[in-house]
Amino acid sequence: MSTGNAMGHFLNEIEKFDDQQAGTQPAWVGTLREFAAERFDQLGFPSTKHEEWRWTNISSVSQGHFAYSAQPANLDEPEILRSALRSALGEVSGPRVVLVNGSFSPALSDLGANIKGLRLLSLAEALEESDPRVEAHLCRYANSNELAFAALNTAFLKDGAVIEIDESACIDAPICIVSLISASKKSDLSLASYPRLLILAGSNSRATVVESTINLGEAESFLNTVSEVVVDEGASLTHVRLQNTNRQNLQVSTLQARLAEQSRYALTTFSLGGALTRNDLTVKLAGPEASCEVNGLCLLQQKQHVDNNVIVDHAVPECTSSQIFKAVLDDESRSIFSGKVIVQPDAQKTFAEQSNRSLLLSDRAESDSRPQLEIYADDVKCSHGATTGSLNEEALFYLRSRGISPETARVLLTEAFAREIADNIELESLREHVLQLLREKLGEDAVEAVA
Amino acid sequence: MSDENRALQELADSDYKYGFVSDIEADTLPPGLNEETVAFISAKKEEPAWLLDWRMKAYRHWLKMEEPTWAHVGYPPIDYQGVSYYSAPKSPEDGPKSLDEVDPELLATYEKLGIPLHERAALAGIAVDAVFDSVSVATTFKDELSKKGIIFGSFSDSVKEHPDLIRKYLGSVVPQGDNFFAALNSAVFSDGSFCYIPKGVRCPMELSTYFRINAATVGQFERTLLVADEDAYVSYLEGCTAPMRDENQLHAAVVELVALDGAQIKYSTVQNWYPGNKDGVGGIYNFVTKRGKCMNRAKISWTQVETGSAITWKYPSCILQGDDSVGEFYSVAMTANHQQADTGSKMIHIGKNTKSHIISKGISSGKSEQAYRGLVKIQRGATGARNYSQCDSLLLGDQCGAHTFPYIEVKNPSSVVEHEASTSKISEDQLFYCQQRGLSQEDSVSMIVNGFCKEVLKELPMEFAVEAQALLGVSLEGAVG
Repeated sequence: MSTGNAMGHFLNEIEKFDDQQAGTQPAWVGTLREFAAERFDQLGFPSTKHEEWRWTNISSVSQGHFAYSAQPANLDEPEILRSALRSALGEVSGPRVVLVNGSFSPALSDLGANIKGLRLLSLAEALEESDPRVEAHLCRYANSNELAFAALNTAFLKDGAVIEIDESACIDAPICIVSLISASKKSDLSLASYPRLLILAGSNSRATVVESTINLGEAESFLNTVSEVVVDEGASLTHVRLQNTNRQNLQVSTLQARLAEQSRYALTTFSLGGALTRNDLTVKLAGPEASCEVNGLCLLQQKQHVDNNVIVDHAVPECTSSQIFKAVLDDESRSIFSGKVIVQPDAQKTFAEQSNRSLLLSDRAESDSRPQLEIYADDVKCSHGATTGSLNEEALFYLRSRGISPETARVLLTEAFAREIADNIELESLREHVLQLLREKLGEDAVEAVA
Repeated sequence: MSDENRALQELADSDYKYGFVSDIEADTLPPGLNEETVAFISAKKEEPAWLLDWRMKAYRHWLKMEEPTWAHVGYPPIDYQGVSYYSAPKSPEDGPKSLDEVDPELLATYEKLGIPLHERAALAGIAVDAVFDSVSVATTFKDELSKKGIIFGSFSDSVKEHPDLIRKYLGSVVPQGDNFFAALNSAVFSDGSFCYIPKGVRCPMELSTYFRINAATVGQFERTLLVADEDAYVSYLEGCTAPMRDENQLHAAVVELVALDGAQIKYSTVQNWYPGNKDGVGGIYNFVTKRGKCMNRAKISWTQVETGSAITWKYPSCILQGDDSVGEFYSVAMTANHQQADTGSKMIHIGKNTKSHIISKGISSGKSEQAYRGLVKIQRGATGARNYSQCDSLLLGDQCGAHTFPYIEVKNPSSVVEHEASTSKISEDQLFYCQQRGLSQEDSVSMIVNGFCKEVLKELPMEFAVEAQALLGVSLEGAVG
């Protein structure tokens, strides 16, 4: 547990927030917040003595002075915001919710009102009208009871995005959720925001959700997000998360997905930015014949630190899951992968795969991996693999013998390693955008290497 | 119920083959642990003052420690005050000078275990430092070994005869405060084995110690220290069986291996402590710390066949400190009924061009829970380090669990680390294939399981391979009816 002082700061913040909200939210929301605040107080910040946090020290969050702010800065400069949107999404176009510092921005959003079968709105609005579907699902999956950061987010429950996809609807355009963090450098307190995302995919529906998070400016910030994803029977949901924040950003995200019978959920996360990123991704296969893919790529430099903690819970028979996590680590960066596959008793005919591959480009980088299988049923096929190494000398030699410079050869091989995850993206505009970002980041490397 | 399950049921019903109690009067300390207990043990062993201090330091450290809870095992809290910490066979002061003087009942116990000490030692060429409860009662072939300068004997004797060596190496690999159980052991260890192989000597025979728990509610706290000096070679065998007992017994051993430059140590274990009955009553709690340190060009190889104990908590490790050193770990673990095992290996790569290899095969049946937990750590300076780990689990029955928890920490880019694991049951296809070739179901399963473990079994010395195969065979006999 962390020190009383640090907890005190966050508890004060919660209290202040609570006073501001007095009377503006329906009673049930207040109850959720109150419970979460209480649990957060009891749980405290996890320390490296917690098994799940052994490789990530979050004292930079717990000791930091982060203040909740609902006042988005820079909103009077639309040109800057528009260019920020472009760098967040590239050529990807579709209905979108833009959150600035966790608060819904009507001016920048396009809710795609004319798209049949889609209801896209801000969480604040959904709470205000006490949307029955939202009320039925919100906070049902992300566990405030056990996860300190989910509790912290819930204590600040106010805004975010809600995506409701109707039964049998097929949404062709990607649904975009853009999170812009715009902190002013002048303030003594750094900015904290707590957005929340709820995705409800109706039975037999089909959709793609793209989440992108970026910063405006270089100020320090803390982002704590919670996403809850419900995929109903026979639905298919593709979810891509793109994190490209500045090097002062601390981020802890919790994602909980629940899959019903014969549904499919494909989650891909790209961690490119941030100083410290922790992703807690949990997928529960709750209906027979459901399948999920959870993939991730970290491309890290300098002192960046990314910790992906993935749990795939096979609760019922005949489900399939696969995980591929890759990391490219340069300078003093560090990536952590903890992946757990749980096969519950009676979850027979489970098929689960897990793979973690890390490429170390620097002798100061570190890769930590903990691929785990917890199996309580016998008729299963589960496997995992983990490898860590550097670029293949023979492959480098081959390229150089063909007249390619060592720097270029390195970039080529690194890109080939990294793009496997990006190549899986079906949506062309998004794939191109991600590949472009990868190239930019790897290109920077090459220039630095030459210099 | 499938044939397999029925077979497993039969396995569960079969009695523990080695379950019997020999009736030997023991000089037992009443249950309880305090500084006096530690002082009593030390005095009883006529230990020098530095060793008593060393024990006290461990005890005081232990008091501040908490019992670890991270392992994937569950058991009722252990009452450390309810355990007796010392038990020696009758009249150790005028102990036996030769095999003829050994208590006939004791020898009979070994007979029942299938270890005819004198015959077997002579025939197989094995020197046996047999540990019965806590005091060594018979040491053979000592003379032959001493001609080569090899020191092999009980820990308490060695403390008197070779205090400098013990003082130099005791705790150098597993310090007193290393972990909860190692600290407990350091405070109250009763006896064990000490072995020293001088420079350039190749030990001419396999060394072995048979452990055996006997008197009721006596925890065994063995301490083994094995030092191979430069360019020496030794192969050490450790095997154990324990009599049937209804109360859980605590066993917290510490094994330290030191392999100096160019030395090689091969340490093999067959562990068959009493696992408890089919309802999970009784059985040994086996919390063991085993660790070896390799200097330049040294090699330590751990091989273990684990079939017994109600709870196994054991992670034989290698600290690859010297350049070009090699660590190996080969393990077969079989759990049945309500057995729980959390076992694996740690490989800490510190030196350059260090290599390690982990092969772990787990077979779980009944309601047992088994976990592989391993750590591969490549330190910043371990240039050119290489690790390959493979952990396979075979599930027999739909109520058992098999888990894999590897930890991989890499800080050097020139190293290559690979980990692979798979979990499955015996496939219907494999069984069908064997059976359509005319093999019975029993033979088929036996063949498949033996094939599954072959990679590990072939690493065992000949004498042990036989015992290990027999052990697996006994378990499988029941398993396939």
